[in-house]
This record gives sequence, structure tokens and C-alpha cells, in this order.
Amino acid sequence: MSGPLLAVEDLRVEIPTRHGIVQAVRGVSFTVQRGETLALVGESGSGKTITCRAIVGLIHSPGHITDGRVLFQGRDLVGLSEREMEGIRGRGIVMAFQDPMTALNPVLTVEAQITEALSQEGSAAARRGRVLELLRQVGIPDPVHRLGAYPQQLSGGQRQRVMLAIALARQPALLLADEPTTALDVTIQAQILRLIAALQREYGMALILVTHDLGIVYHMVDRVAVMYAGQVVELAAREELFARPRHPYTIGLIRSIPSADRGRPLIPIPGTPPELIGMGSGCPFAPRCEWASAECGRGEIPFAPVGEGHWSRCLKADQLEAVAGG
Amino acid sequence: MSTLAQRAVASLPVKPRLASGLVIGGSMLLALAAAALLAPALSSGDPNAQNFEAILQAPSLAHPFGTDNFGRDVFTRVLYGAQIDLRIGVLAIIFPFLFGSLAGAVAGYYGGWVDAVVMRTVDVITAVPFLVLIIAIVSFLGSGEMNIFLAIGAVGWVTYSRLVRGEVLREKNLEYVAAVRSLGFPRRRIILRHLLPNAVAPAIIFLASDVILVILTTATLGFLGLGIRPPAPEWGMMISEGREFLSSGWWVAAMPGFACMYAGLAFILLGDGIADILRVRGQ
Repeated sequence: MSGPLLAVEDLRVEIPTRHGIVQAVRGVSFTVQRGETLALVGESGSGKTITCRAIVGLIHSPGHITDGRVLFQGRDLVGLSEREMEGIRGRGIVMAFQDPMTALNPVLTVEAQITEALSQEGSAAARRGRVLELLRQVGIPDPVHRLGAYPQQLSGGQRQRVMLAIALARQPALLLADEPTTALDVTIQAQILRLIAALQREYGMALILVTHDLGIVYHMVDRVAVMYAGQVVELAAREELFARPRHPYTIGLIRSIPSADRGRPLIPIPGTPPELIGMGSGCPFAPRCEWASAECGRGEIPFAPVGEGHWSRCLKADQLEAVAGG
Repeated sequence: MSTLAQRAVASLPVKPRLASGLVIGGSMLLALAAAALLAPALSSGDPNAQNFEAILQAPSLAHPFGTDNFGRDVFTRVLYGAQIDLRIGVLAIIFPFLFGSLAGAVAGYYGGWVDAVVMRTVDVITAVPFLVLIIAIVSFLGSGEMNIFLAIGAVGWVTYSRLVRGEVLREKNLEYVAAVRSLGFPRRRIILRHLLPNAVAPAIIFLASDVILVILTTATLGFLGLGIRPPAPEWGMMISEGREFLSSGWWVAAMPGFACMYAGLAFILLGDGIADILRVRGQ
């Protein structure tokens, strides 16, 4: 099988609400190769999580995919029945959810939840051995004494590790990690990210890392897709993106990364993201953009190549070259 | 100075709430069950032995609960009655609990037409008053214990379905359900192993009060001549028979009535205790 492991093509998700139809995802496209790490970066509400949920077919009703394709190993997952998706999830794709406080079943022990995710071959003793090995791999101290623990007896960081152990037990080809560190203390965040990166190499998984923090992705991803208002606005390899950002929003994100050694002030992005109800035409970032002009408010802005493997959804991408690099 | 007060404070239980209902209710029930099982040893023996020398006698040492209009010892009859009423009360709720919880969970999880079929059936059954429907079914099938089970089984599951469906509707949008779905588990497993244990708590709590409801229903059926046949010492039937003698011998109806209340209190305390435990674990 050649071609990318996952290809999302012009994905659109709408959520009907009392106030109107929210266009949560508006034509998102990207690919993920085997073993590759892609970061989906953007503010809250930019459509990162819903994109991931759409990939595994777990969008909350009444939200639904209105258009586009999700090709996994060449097979379109959009429109598959729940039974067919059960065959894709697990060995194919696993999504690890954001909040470790709510994403574990409160009435089952750690051992029960990990064992359940293992393949049911082999003896009970062999499965227990595998559970202990997984707990050790994710860095749970004294795993023998944690087998009988319930999720509420664990700290947030430990729960996140248990969730990783459960995901690894399925040995997925693709792991979607939705803000895996957002709910954790800063000191734990780095540990968990290093752990995810190490485990990803060991298991040869592809990884989509969803985060709102461009700073934390710098050390562990291959490519970055920056999302804004339900669209991917810039997509590039990591070094390329940080060295030559070609979208004003990406520039804003990079400028607002706190840095101890550069000694320059943080520059926040002014304004707030737009409501995704009844989106008009034009660039949704234009109202917050210092380079915007009249033409930015009209028509659909094309997602155009601006370099090798580098795309930007900005009419002024060429003019931004001089700005970047700071 | 106030050593008495200090001692009183010190002797206060530190955690008075946790599982105390479970312990008290459970002990009360165990005592009742033991009394029912040991009825031959604890009482005069035959609940139907008549003694026309001792009709409608007030409670005394010889007859702790008095005697009825046939001179039967009410204490003996209440103890033997516990065998019948506890058996019916416990056995009759098993099927409604299991089937109703499962139907409610499936309806809530799948939604769509499955939900519509299950819940419209529930609506139809609920639309007819509970007792009227039970009476209709038992009159059609005939009296007897088995037919009471069938009637209660056909009607009683709807409450469990409602309770569990409501919980499943809430639970199924929680993150842990999406998490196990994303692992590719089949729906049957998600419902049985992940959703039901989290959604069944209110049904288990209702179980305790449902036992009382079933015992009272059995009593009502007995009163109408549709339930357990006389002279079996069923509590409800004893109450209805004793009604005629309320002025001359209140104990004939009151003693089985107290037994009903005692059993009801025990089950409710037990249900409360279970609810406490489920809440603690669910946090």
C-alpha cells in the first residue's frame, strides 16, 4: 500500500444550534504519512478537536460531516456504518481525549481498562504481564500496586499515562492525541510529551498532536498545520514554519510564544476569533490582521503553495517573507 | 469539668452517613429473613391451625400478636407470611430489573427507531394504571404465584427502562464513552460493560422500593381474591381479612401491616445505603 496513511480532503463539519448552523470545520485538507507526527495548532474553537473526532467518526450529535473525504489506508471513512468504524478504530486509529479526569471509566480498575484493550489471545497471566509492561512503559511507578486502582485514585498525570497505556494496548497505526497536556501541570506536560514522542518511535505510530500551544510542538513534530476558524491556514514542515511563516496568524502565534532567552516582549494577537455562524466570504483573520487590505474581505482565499511542501491561505503571503525570521 | 459532655462528643461517630443505611437495612432484612426461615422453631408451628377456644384474643404472652377470627396465632402467620411475601417480592423484580435496564440502555444508546419502539411501548404500558393492568393480566391468566410473576414481569420493567435510559442519555456523551468507542470496542461491550454499570445506580435504588410495591400489589391481588389463595398466610390477604375485625381485634390487620412497614423500611434503608456506595464510587 503506497500513499499517505491518512488523507483528509476538503472536510466540512456543521453543527446545527439554536442560533444557527456552526460551520466548525470548513474545508480542511492534510495528509499524514506512516510514522509521521503532525501538529494541529490553533486557538480554542478553531476546529482542531472536531476535525479529529470527524476522522474517527465520533462527532457529537447533531454535528455531522457535510462534505469531504477521510481516506485511511486508501479507504474513505466518511459514511461508514458504526459497525464498519468499529473495525477501523482500535488497530487503525485511536483517539486519546483531552481531559484525563473524564476520559476513563470511573467504575473499572486500571487493570480492567487496559486488559480490555489488549487482544484477547493468550493466558490471563500473559495479559497481566503485558499490562504491567505497558504501565512501566508509560512511567507509572510501582505498577503492581496500581493495577487495582480506580481512576479517581490517580493524579491527572497518572490518568493521562493510563490513557496512553490503553491506547498503546490497541497498537494503533495512527494516534490522535487531543491536547494531551492541557489539563496537566506545566512540570508534568514536558514529561508526557517526551513520553508520547518516545512511545511513538517505539511503536512506529503516526501521531496527530492537537494543541493550542505552538511552543510545545517545536521539539517533537515533523509538520505543523495551523488552524483558524475551521480552516487550515498554513501547513509546512516544522523548521520551515518557524523560519519562514507565511500566514499572519502563524506569525502572531510565534510572536506570542513565551521565551526566556530572547528577551523580547510577547506580542499578543489583537481581537478574538470570529463566530462560526453564517461566515461571510473573505479571510476570517482579516479583522485582526495588520497586513489586511480591502481585497482580503472578498471571495474565498485560496490555499496556495508558497514553497516546498508549504501552503498558506493568505493573499499577502509573498509580502510576509521579509517580516518572518524574528 | 463536663466529662460527660466530652465523652458524649467523643463517642459521636466520625462518619455517621457512609453505608449506615446499608448496615441497618441489611441487618433488619437479615433478621426478617432469619425469622421467616426459623418460623417453625420460633412460633407455634402451624400457621393454619385453628382454635375456636381462643378467637380474637388480644396480644398476650401465649399469642404475642393475638389471634384472628379462627383462633389462628397471628404471630405464627406473620412469620410464615414473611416467607411468601419476601419470596414474591424478591423474585418478581428480577426480570423487570434485568430486562428493563437492558432495554433502557439499548434504547438510550442507539436512539433513533430502536429508542422509539422501546419508549413508545413503555408509554403504552405506563398509560394504563399499574394496578389495573396487573389485575387485568392476573384475571386473564388466573390466580397463583407464577401468574403474579408473569404479570409483574410484563408491566414492571418500564420504570427501570425509563431510569436507565435517562442515565444512558447523559452518560453516553461523556468523554469516557467516546474514549472506549475510539478503541474500536463493539457496541454490545460498550453498553454492557461501560455504560450499564455507570447508568444502573438509580435502577438499583428503585429496586428496593419496588420490592415493597410488589408486596403491596400481591396484597392487593390477595384482597381481590386474585393472588395467593387462602388460607396461605400472605400479609396482604391477612390485612384485608382483618379489616372486618378492626373494632373488635385491631391486631389481626395491624400486625401484618407492621410487618409490611418493617420490611419496607428495611428495603428503603438498604437502597439508600447502596445509593451512598454507588455515589462514592462514581465520584
